Amino acid sequence: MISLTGITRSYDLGSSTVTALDDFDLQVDRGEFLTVMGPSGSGKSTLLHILGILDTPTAGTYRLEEHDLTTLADRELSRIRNEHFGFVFQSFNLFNEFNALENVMLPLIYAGLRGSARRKRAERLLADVGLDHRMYHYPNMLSGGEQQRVAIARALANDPTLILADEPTGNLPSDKGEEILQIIDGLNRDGVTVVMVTHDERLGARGSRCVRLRDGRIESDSGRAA
Amino acid sequence: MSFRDRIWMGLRHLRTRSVESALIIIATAIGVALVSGMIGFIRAYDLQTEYLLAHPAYREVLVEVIGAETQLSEPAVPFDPATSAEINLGVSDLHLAKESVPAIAFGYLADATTLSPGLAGVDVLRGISGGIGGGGVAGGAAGNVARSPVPDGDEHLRGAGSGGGRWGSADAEESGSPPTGSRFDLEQFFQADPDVVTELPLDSFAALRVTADYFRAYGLEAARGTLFDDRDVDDGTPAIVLGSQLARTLFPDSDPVGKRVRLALQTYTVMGVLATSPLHDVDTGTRLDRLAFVPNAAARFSFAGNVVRLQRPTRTLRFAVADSADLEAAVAQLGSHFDGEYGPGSVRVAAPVEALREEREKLGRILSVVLFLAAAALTIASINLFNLMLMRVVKQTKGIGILRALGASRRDIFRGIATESALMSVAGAAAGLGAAPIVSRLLARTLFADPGGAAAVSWPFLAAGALAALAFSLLFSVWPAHQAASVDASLAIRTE
Ligand SMILES: Nc1ncnc2c1ncn2[C@@H]1O[C@H](COP(=O)(O)OP(=O)(O)OP(=O)(O)O)[C@@H](O)[C@H]1O
Ligand SMILES: [Mg+2]
Repeated sequence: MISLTGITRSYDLGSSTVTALDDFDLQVDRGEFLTVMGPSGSGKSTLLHILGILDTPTAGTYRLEEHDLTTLADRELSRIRNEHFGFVFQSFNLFNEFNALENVMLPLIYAGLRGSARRKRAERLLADVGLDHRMYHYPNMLSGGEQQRVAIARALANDPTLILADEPTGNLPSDKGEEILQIIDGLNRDGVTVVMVTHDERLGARGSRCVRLRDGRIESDSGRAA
Repeated sequence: MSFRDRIWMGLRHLRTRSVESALIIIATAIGVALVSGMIGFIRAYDLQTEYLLAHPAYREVLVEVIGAETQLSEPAVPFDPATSAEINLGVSDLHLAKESVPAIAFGYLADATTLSPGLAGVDVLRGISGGIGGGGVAGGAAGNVARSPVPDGDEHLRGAGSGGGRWGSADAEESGSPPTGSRFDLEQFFQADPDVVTELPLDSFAALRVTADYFRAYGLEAARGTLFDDRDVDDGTPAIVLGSQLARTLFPDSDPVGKRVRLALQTYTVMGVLATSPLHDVDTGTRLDRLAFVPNAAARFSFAGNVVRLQRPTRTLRFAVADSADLEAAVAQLGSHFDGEYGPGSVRVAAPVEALREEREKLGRILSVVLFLAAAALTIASINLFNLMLMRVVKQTKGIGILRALGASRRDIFRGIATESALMSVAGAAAGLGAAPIVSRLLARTLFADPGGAAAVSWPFLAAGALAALAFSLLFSVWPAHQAASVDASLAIRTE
């Protein structure tokens, strides 16, 4: 489904150059649950941002299905993010000025969905993560676990094919983290491809495949080995 | 993303950052108020200058006895034609000059006075009736001082309005005028006549004592009844003509024409009501619609019984040209005419428009300095505003990154931020436009001694000013929106 070839992402800091990803190749197949591990600064978040086309590589090509994403314009890339990708972050990243329902509605707004259709869909998504009783709560009235569930509902708004999660349980106590992981597991079982960055070895083992990074390169890849 | 959704999101953002948003809106409002208020004021100033330059008062040439102005605050001096060497200008001088000076189209008298209805002042007069009957002269000054809105004669006589003295003018010369030399019975004089109106809704009102040409020079016509003519003035007919608004005030539910009104010591017959006029009296600042007009027969000889009497002389003769282009010629011709009549240098001949031009020029210079300073201050303020808008975007960086992750394109972000800024600009502009007339009026009130008949607020120009300021602040929102759109999403999400 995804094919990265020769991806390099380096930051030019004037006097020096930081290479976050170094001539990086990676294939992700449809339906995989890929976990990404590695020490801090190894390039995990950078990889996730490049996969989610929030960041553009300095060199290399990114193919999504049959499309070469490096040739597409911002509007098309934004549409792909909106319709096919769902992001889940460590720090939830909900908007405090919007309540849970409205936060979930945001991707639907950009998708052009309107009125009651939009609202109904957002309500259903929240119900699916068990928050039908918290729809009108603002993020600061929700617990961390609840916030992350709202974030997942938001990520799922447009039925994405790929979920990109950057340490989604990093800010949660282990039982709440487990709840989140259950949801993600369930999604993967329903056929959604998942790429999840984690520091936690136990969580790393929960995926179908684990890639370890070091200094912007792949140190090991359980999928390759197997 | 629909327009409605953009507005909705924009409003939400404004609400969460309410203090900051309020500051920006207030700053915009002040800027818009100042800019449009100033532009509106400049326009109003120009309009007022135009109005004044076209005003009949500035087609006038004034002829005054030199030294007359120094007597303004002094009590009237009884005039004795036999012994006085003073030059006494009067109606006859008007007629003479009009005949011999070709540049002149009109010649008239116009002196300010105050009229009070009923028997006001009579109680006071009773106490001193002996004085009046006995040929006292103290009352003559009341209301008769040239172009002074408040009669500055004897304090006791203020309520009595004009006239009453021996040298009293037309006002005092009622048909059955007080006999001179013998004791005069006030009680009988003021005996209630059922046909005469003595009670009016106003305690007093301003009036001009004029001759007939005044109406012609000011283009005034009767809406009802007629205006008095030169003969009425010469005869001392106790007629009164009312400005349209004054007529409505004094006689709210009846036609005033033909009514007889007791105004202090005089019974006037309302001869006519003027058609509405846009003009005001430049000396007193009163609209003509609010004034009354009574005949002015200054310095006219009259024959009452076997005594020859002279009306109080006037201080100022007013001449007017039909076309302001003739003013210079009129000043020169009048100068030589009066030099011939009374000897060189005996009267001052001047066109008030000269003084007006000078004053306006001076005011214009002050104005440009003020405007320049205001513009400089506004520039600094707008730089600040710009900075506030930019800071806002910087603070929103993370949110922008998240929205990008959710599928917002750069264009969506640009539009979102621009909508937010536009909401603030429009709110600010609306508030500013509301305050602009106040600014404009305030400027007008501080800078003009007499805002007069010209409007201090010019709405189309106010609106144009507000639009300009709005466009300016919208322009200011383009750059922050552009900045927001070019935020690197990956970096933005990493910011805390
Ligand atoms: N904008 C930037 N400018 C310069 N260097 C950067 C920038 N963003 C990331 N880097 C560098 O790129 C490298 C990879 O960063 P990245 O955030 O991908 O690491 P990570 O594996 O996610 O680390 P962590 O586990 O701490 O989140 C790091 O060395 C980081 O310092
Ligand atoms: Mg990271």
